[in-house]
Parts: sequence; structure tokens; C-alpha cells
Amino acid sequence: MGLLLKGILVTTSIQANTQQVHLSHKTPWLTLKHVQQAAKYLFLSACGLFMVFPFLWMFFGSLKTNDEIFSNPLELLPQHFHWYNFVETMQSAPFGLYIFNSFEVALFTTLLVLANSSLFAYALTRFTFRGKTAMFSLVMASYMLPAAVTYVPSYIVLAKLGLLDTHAGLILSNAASVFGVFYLRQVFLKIHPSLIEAARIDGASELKILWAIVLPQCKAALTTLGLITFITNYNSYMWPSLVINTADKNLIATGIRQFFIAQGNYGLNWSHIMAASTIAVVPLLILFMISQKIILSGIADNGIKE
Amino acid sequence: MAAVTLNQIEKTYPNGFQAVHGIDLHVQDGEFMVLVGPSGCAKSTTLRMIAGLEDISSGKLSIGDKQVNHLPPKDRGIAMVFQNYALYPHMSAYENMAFGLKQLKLPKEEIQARIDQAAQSLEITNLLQQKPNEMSGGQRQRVALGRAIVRKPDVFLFDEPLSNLDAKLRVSTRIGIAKLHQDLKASGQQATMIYVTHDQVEAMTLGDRICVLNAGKIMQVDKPMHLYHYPANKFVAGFIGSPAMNLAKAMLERKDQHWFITIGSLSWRLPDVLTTRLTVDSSQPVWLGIRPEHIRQAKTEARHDNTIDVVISVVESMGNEQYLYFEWLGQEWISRMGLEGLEHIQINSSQALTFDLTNIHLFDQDTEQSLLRPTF
Ligand SMILES: Nc1ncnc2c1ncn2[C@@H]1O[C@H](COP(=O)(O)OP(=O)(O)OP(=O)(O)O)[C@@H](O)[C@H]1O
Ligand SMILES: [Mg+2]
Repeated sequence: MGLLLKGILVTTSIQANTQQVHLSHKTPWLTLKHVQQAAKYLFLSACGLFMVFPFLWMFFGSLKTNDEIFSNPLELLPQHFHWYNFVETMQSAPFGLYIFNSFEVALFTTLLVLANSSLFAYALTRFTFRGKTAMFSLVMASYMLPAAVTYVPSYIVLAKLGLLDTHAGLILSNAASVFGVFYLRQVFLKIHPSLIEAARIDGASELKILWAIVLPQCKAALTTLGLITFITNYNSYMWPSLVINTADKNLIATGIRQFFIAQGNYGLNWSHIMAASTIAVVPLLILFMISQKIILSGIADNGIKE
Repeated sequence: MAAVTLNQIEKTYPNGFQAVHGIDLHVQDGEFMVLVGPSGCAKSTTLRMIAGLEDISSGKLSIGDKQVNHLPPKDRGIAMVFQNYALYPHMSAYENMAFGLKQLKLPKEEIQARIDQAAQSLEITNLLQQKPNEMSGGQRQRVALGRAIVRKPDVFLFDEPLSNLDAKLRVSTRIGIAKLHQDLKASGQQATMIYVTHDQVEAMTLGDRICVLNAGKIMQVDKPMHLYHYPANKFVAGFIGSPAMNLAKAMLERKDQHWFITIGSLSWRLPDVLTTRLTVDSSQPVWLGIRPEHIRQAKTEARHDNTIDVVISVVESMGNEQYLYFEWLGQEWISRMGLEGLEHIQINSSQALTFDLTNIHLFDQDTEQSLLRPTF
């Protein structure tokens, strides 16, 4: 959706630019540069459309009748907008609760990931200690492990901690992110050491330096990492479906799946499934729109002149 | 009250490179000490060890009467101004200056008062709400200076604070730093300053004393004028002064009661003012040093044997003076002349130049130490 809008915005702004150039500089109306730019944006818009199509299909599908979805030839837009599908869907299963569960688990997981990735990355970039390289290599090596391999040991650990079938268990088992450590390490390396040194002279503790000097300069990176972590955990399916047994504790992806099964394989109501999926995605879209600004504005001057 | 004493300080970096070789330096309370030397001579390393940003491999470092080798930077009573300003980019000038004071848990009014006062003296009051990326280089540097001042440190440490500024700003900020030192002294806050630079103009103009470093060793510590007139060794002679001192191999020879300096095919008698300062009593090979301003245009009526005829290869005009380059004895020499000769001297013209023998320097060829006792 955002991409599509951006494409349109960008295209109009090119047009505006072309006109301006044309009026003020008396350059030829259409130069090679303009053609190149137009081609570039055409390509980008096409890609954007391509990406946004499944989403649109889902959204419009949620407003169709089940027959329309399978109509031949396919129609993107429904004949009538069946907004009532949403009401029916919300009544048919506790999706609100599932979304809340997902939100809760994703939120706390994200906060924990941000906290411990920052701490670890700070230690890796700003301290010298014995075995630092070995430690970093070990962490990176664990990145190579396929997630499925870790399911059994993780399950056993959770069982021993008595955290099976709890949200705390889900949160705890995803609270460390190798990608987070790696990504923040790269970002922290870009902060000039003299800033850290100035803060040490100013008498700030290492924790204070991380909090007050380093992190505020990495808002964009933190937001990106936070968003990725949040979306991953919000949409997570496999692991929650193993850990959670109680229906009330389901996350949204497992919730939709349960709903799907409950209807039996024949009477599948696709428009309701699409409506449920649409509802599930809305919080993510809102989150994305909010954080997009921070991500884009985050590339600020770091005040260091080399 | 804080003198800074370095006692046999050494630094070996983790990669095994020894950057500092046993430095002994005593910076008096309230003194402005400049560390100067070519790039890579370990000026920054030394300063950073004083600041506590770099471990000291061996030796003793005291600030005031406390040994501080193992104290963290914040407990050493220092403030540092970095070459790249190191302002916190996400904070306004005010917040930058307040950050350190907040760590000290000073009351709000006190913080406000200190910042206002510093901002006033640095003329940055109108910048206080701006972020570093909204300021010019000079303004940033003044904020960085302000951040150091408000901490009221015993010792100010500067690491090439002016080298990112343009020539004009460099001069005005330099004067600002000199003034700051005087003002602090006048206000009874004896602030010791240690200032690293590779710019000898900064060194000469700012320093109460200058410490010349080369390859991690101290070459000489002295007042600027002494350094200029009585360089203790060939390195200092060549490093201090611009354009640099002319240095050439020569022979110091004693014949009975008289001393001669033989260079090329010429032999000049040393004037008595020099022979009384000699620290040797027999002939030996030496480095002869003579500053460009001591090679002058010969006066036609009085031609001595210390006058040579040369062809000028390059003339550089500075406005108030000019530098003449010429080849002699297979090396390049520089002479520096005042305005009076401006019209006459042209490239490829032949000139008679006189060496002012009362102002030459002599260095041992092996040890490169001066063979002349200073007179002060
Ligand atoms: N972290 C380090 N590890 C190993 N060697 C280092 C390190 N930092 C500096 N050095 C070396 O120590 C020597 C002194 O460096 P230093 O930065 O103190 O020089 P400097 O006098 O400040 O030079 P400049 O005028 O270029 O700033 C140099 O040869 C440098 O290569
Ligand atoms: Mg340096």
C-alpha cells in the first residue's frame, strides 16, 4: 500500500520537476535524464504493484462472497462490498483476543530483544575483553542453525522451567536475536569513539552512555530492528503452535489456523479467512506507518567532522 | 591545585607496538604546556594516557598529589577538547554542556549558571538551543570548549582542537584559548592546560613551555623562545621555526686558540660569543645549522669571507618578507629577507649572501645533540 502511494507521489513529483526545469532553464522538454528517471520510477512502481497485489487480493477477497473469490475470469473488485463479512468473522472466533495475545507477545519479545542486543553489541564494540572474537564467532555460528533444530531442546528447556503453554515462555524463548546483535554491532561501530570517550570523561557510566549517547543516535536502526522483530513474532506460527495448547492463549496465526480447521475441509469460508487475515494485518500496517517516519528521518548528521 | 607529572611513562599497544618510550614531564600547576611533534610521534597517545582513555603500560602518572594511573577519566579532574569536537549530535549545545554536570548531580540552578557564564564568555549564548549539525565548525568548537569549561577541571586537555578550522578561525580561536587560560588564572582557578598540536605557530604562541616529541621520546622541553634560539638537538632545530633551519654537514676545527667551521672549501672563524659556549674542546665533524633569517644579503662595502655568491632558484613572496631558495654545496638553502630587498631579487639572479656566524647552531653528527651551551 505504502509503496503504491509512494510510486504515485513520486511520479507526480517528477512531472512537477520536469515542468519547473522546462520553465526556468529553457532546457529541452524531454532530456535523456528525464526518460531515464521516468523509466526508473515506472519500474519501481511496477515492483510496488507486484508486492502490494497479494495484500489487495486479500483485502478485496474479504469483501467478496465465497463464490466470487473463485469466479472465472478472476475479478479484483467484488460486485458488492460485503462489509458485513468482517462482523461475521469477528463473531465467529475470538480474533480480538488472538490479536491482543500476538501483540502482547511480540511487544515484550521486541523490547527484550532490543535491550539485550544493545547491551551485547555495546560490549562487543566498546570493550576489549578476553575471548571477545571467539564469543562473537560463536554467536554468529548459532545463526547458521536452522530454527527447526532448536525446537526440541527449546521445548525441553521450557518444559523444565514450567513455561509451556504460557506467553512468558514464548517471549523468553525468542528474547535473544543473533541478527539483532549483528545488526546493532555494525551500527554501533559507526559511532565515533570520541563520543564515547567524551561521555566517559563527562562521568557517565557505561550503561548511561549506551542509553543517553549511543541509542538516541541509532533510533532508525532500533526502529528497524524492532519492527522486524515485532512482525516476525506477531506472525509467528510454528513455534507458538507447539508451545501453546490452550485456545485462549493462541496467537493470531494459530488462531486463524484453528478457525480454518474448525470449519472442516469442505465448508471453507474463504472470505472470512481473508477478513480475519486482514484484521490481523491492520495493527502491523499502523505500526509500520508510525515507524516509517523514524526510519527515514533517522539518518542524521552525527556531529563529527572527519 | 593540579600539577601533572609523568614519570617514566611508557605505552605499548596491544599489537606490540611501543608508542611511548619513557617520558618524564612535569607540568606545573596553572602552566600551559604544549606537546608538539610530527605526525605519529605519540602526542595523542600521551594525552590520552593523561586523560585515562588509554592504559599506561608502565610508569607513574600523578595529577595534583595523587597517583592516577588507575583512576577512571571522570575521577582525574580533567576535561578534554577533541579534534573532531565530539559533541553529542542528538543534544542541543546546552544539553551537551549540561550532560557532564548532570552526571555530577549538580543542582539545576548551578548547571544553568555555569553554562550561562561559559556561553557568555564564548559568545555562544544564542546557539544554546541548536544542535551540532546546525552549527559551523567554529561554533561547534566553542561549544566543545564550553563543555570543558563548565566542568571546572583542574586540567584541560586539548587534542589538536583547531586543526579542523579554517586559517582565520584558527587564529581567533587560538587567541580565545590563550585568553581563557589567562582569565581562569585571573579568576583564581589555576587551570593547567596540556595542548597537543602539530602546528608550531600554535605551539609557539600558546605555550608557557613546549614539549617537543619525536617517535615517542621527549626531544626538549623549554620556553618557546629558548626552544627557538637554543635548540638542544638537531631534531628540535629542524622542527621549530618556519621556514625550517638550514642544516648541513661541516667540520668544527680547533687551531690553537681559535675555532673554525669548515664547510665546502670555505673555512670561517667562529666569533668569540660562540666559542665561549662550546661544550667540546677538540675538532670534530658537526651539523651546521643556520636559520633562514640569518642568511642575509651582503652589504657591498663590507665583503667578508663568510659571504657566498649564489644563484636564486625560487623566490616566495609573503608580502612582508620573502623566501629565497638557492643551491649550494649540493643541497637547497633558504634565506629569509625583509621588505628592503623586494624589488631587486629575481629568479636566476646572482646574489651575494652573508652567513651571520654569531647565530649559527652546531650539533654533534652522531648524537645530534647541540654543542653550544645555552645562555640565559
Ligand atoms: N590503537 C593503536 N594500536 C596500535 N598502534 C597505535 C594505536 N594508536 C596509535 N598507534 C600508533 O602509535 C603511534 C602514535 O600515535 P598517536 O596517535 O599518538 O600519534 P600523534 O602524535 O597523535 O599523531 P597525529 O599528529 O597524526 O595525531 C603511531 O605510530 C600510531 O600508529
Ligand atoms: Mg593525534
